[in-house]
Amino acid sequence: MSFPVWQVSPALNGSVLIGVVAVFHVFIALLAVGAGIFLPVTEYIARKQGRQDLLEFLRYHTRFFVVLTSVFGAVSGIGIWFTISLVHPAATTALIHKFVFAWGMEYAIFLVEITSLIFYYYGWEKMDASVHQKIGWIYAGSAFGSLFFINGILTYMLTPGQAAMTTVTDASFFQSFFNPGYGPSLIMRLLVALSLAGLFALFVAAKLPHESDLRTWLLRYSAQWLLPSYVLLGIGGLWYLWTVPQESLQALTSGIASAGVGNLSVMTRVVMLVGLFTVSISLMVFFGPYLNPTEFSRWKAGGLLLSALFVTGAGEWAREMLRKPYVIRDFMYVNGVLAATEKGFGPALEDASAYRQSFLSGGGWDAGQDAGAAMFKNQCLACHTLTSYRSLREYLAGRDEAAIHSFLQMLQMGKENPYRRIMPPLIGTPEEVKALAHFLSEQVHPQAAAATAGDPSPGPRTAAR
Amino acid sequence: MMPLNLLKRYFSPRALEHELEERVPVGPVMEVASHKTVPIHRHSYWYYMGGISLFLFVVQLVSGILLLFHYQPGAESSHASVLRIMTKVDFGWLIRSIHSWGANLMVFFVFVHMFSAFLMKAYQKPRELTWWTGIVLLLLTITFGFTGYLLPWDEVSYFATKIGMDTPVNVAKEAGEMVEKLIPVAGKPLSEAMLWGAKQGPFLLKGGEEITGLTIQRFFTLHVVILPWVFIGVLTVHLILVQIHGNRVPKAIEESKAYRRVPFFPNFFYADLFMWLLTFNLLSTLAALSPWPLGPEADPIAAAPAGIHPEWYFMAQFQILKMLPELVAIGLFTAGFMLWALVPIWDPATTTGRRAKIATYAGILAVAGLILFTLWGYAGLHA
Ligand code: HEC
Ligand code: HEM
Repeated sequence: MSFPVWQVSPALNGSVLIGVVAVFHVFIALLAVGAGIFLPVTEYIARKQGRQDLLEFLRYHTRFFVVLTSVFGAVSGIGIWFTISLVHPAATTALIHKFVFAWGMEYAIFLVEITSLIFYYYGWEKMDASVHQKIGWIYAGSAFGSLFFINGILTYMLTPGQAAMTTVTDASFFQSFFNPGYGPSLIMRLLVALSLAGLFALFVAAKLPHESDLRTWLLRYSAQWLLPSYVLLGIGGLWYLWTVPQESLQALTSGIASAGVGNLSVMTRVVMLVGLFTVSISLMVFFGPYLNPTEFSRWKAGGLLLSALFVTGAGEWAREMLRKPYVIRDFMYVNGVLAATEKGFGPALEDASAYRQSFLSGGGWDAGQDAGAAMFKNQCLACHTLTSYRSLREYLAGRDEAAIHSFLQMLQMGKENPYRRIMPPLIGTPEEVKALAHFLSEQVHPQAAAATAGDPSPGPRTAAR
Repeated sequence: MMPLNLLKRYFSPRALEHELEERVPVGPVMEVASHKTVPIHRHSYWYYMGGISLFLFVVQLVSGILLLFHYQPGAESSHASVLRIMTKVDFGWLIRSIHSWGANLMVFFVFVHMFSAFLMKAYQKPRELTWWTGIVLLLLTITFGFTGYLLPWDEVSYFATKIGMDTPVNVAKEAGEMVEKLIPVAGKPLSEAMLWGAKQGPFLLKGGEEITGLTIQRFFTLHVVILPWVFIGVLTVHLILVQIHGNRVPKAIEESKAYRRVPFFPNFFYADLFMWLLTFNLLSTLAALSPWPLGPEADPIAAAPAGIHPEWYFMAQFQILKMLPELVAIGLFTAGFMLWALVPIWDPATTTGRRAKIATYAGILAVAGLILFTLWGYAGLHA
């Protein structure tokens, strides 16, 4: 295999790790974009109305955002890079090849964003009002700019549309960048960013002394930052779903029968919750800080922020799930197997013989390892762990080695394969598949494996490099 | 512009209010309500707990009625109909999950509400009746939980109910043995009479010696007819009393004057709404992401599965029952609960405040004890 696979621990795989880092990062990053717009706009209003107390508040608020964006935003951003390149090295390479220009721009813009933020913060006292306001607008522009660029890359992974890759550098940059999902995603992310900025301002303003007029004014004002979301989020959401490929939507409407409980898949339930939370957060903001600012307190603001963190996380998780089993739709599966190879072997997904080519013959990182373990690491670990998240030990508990083997053979059946919307096809020669079945059976029934541990014949090994 | 003016004249809120007032004079009631104020201070978030319990009760009513459209009580039909709700009825799993999670959350918040009322000394004069109606509401809430638990008729629900139903009989047996030892001649008939007496309650509830279809039928009647109406009646009295007396301000805060008053309507009402939405977020997340499971159908002949245990709110009692002779344990519960319920009598508002202190310690001890024994109970399951 071209890249090593990183198994964090039996209970933790790369996807879960990416999930945790990503939810944290997305929340901070969107908050930073929203705040980048909130601060200069509010400064503009304060100067126009000549409100000194409001300017004072903004200065205080700015310091917080310097810390938030420069420390947490930047650190978690690097964390994301670190994790995706360890967990999805092949996909990262492919995306860099395609989007090197966008990423370059994103870096440049982020530099402008941080620099203008620092000037904005230190300039509150030292700068001329009009210069300070101008720097504020630069800050707002660059905050939006970084969203503008990263959005193209993120949406491409789910909705490449006509620009789906067959080789790494296929299709024009602009066609890929402005893919079908670009528009609705940009709008939705912007709305969420504005809402988060409003929610955060609520949190900070709730601490102001109860008697001050500023507190009441700010609470009602910040609540209105969610207004665009009330109106447009639903429309944006529908537009977004409209651009999502048909196959992914089917995964949403038809539950996964094997889920056992309920007749809807986890993903569908999460999407429902996202919709519900959007409505309930709106109502909470309306009845809380907007209609009833005096009784709004910090821990209520905390409840709101917690709900918002949940929706952001759940929304991102659902988006990731919609993309499965691909990491880059129609091009590469989550486990790094190229969909293009699959197409190269005759009619796509129909001819099962396409999957019987050897997976391990390339040698590479796993040379000399147990073949079953290598198959597992490369083809299953991206979505399953052995013991916790989507635990294979749990899923396979009722099956012996023969049953596991026939389950694996099903994953090679092309169109007949009932799991092809959620799991990539299994690639491997009959021997390799057998080795995987043996390995899984050992993992699932450790006691039975221990009993036959004296068995001198080792499992097959992968070819040496 | 003519039609618009006409419309305004006859359909403005004010005109409608007037029309209504002529027929149903609600004015005086609204007048009282509009004067109600709520004290706001460091501890006033505890005042939300009663409201959250109320909200969850309404959730239970609505989701329960929806379940009624498909649930069929009976030894043959109970489990099958719940299974159908879970797999065939659109969103049936969600409604059931909301009802089950809602029940648990309701018990939880009723407990929190009760302990906060206790620690704020909201039971003292003139709020004794509010406290006692509250105690009745607590008992009713728990009985809701107990009767509802059996209805799906799966393995755990069957055996948990069996444990509950057998307890009074076991206690009577133990007590009987003691009585026979202590009283030479009359002991035997006395203990038999006690056993007979202890059997009557469970017998009546079960509709016989065993837990059967008739038991489901009776639990069902309690759960969907008798308990709701009694609950609504007692709750109405509880709420009217709260309306009359207003919220109790803890003494220390009263003396330091570190509080202000806001009108119940609209200020506190909006704040209540906010908390209900937050509760609803919690409830829907639990219900959607962790759907309430359904075990295999109850099989009275089979042996009880290992680790059978009641719901978490009986866990502390369950643990104590395991550790002490049943008679002693039940005696302790009864005495403890009586003391708890009668606190307005042994801790009236006195000036010295010595008893008040004792009551406070008792309250903290009760919370700590409940938590400790509950955790202990769960730890014991895995050991
Ligand atoms: C793209 C991600 C992905 C990859 C890669 C993947 N799976 Fe899965 N697998 C899933 C999902 C999603 C489910 C459904 C989980 C659920 O029902 O909640 C699943 C379910 C399963 C189940 C349970 C199916 C049932 O009906 O009981 C088994 C067994 C399983 N996978 C085995 C494997 C094996 C073995 C591999 C490696 C060859 C593999 N998976 C690779 C995503 C993946
Ligand atoms: C079962 C459902 C119950 C509901 C729906 C309910 C509802 C309410 C509501 C809405 C209030 C006013 C708001 C507040 O102070 O929290 C209240 C007050 C009160 N409740 Fe309950 N209650 C329930 C159970 C109980 C229980 C179990 C007790 C204690 C035994 C109790 C004792 C009280 C007392 C003493 C007050 C007055 C509080 C004060 O004056 O500050 N209630 N209840």
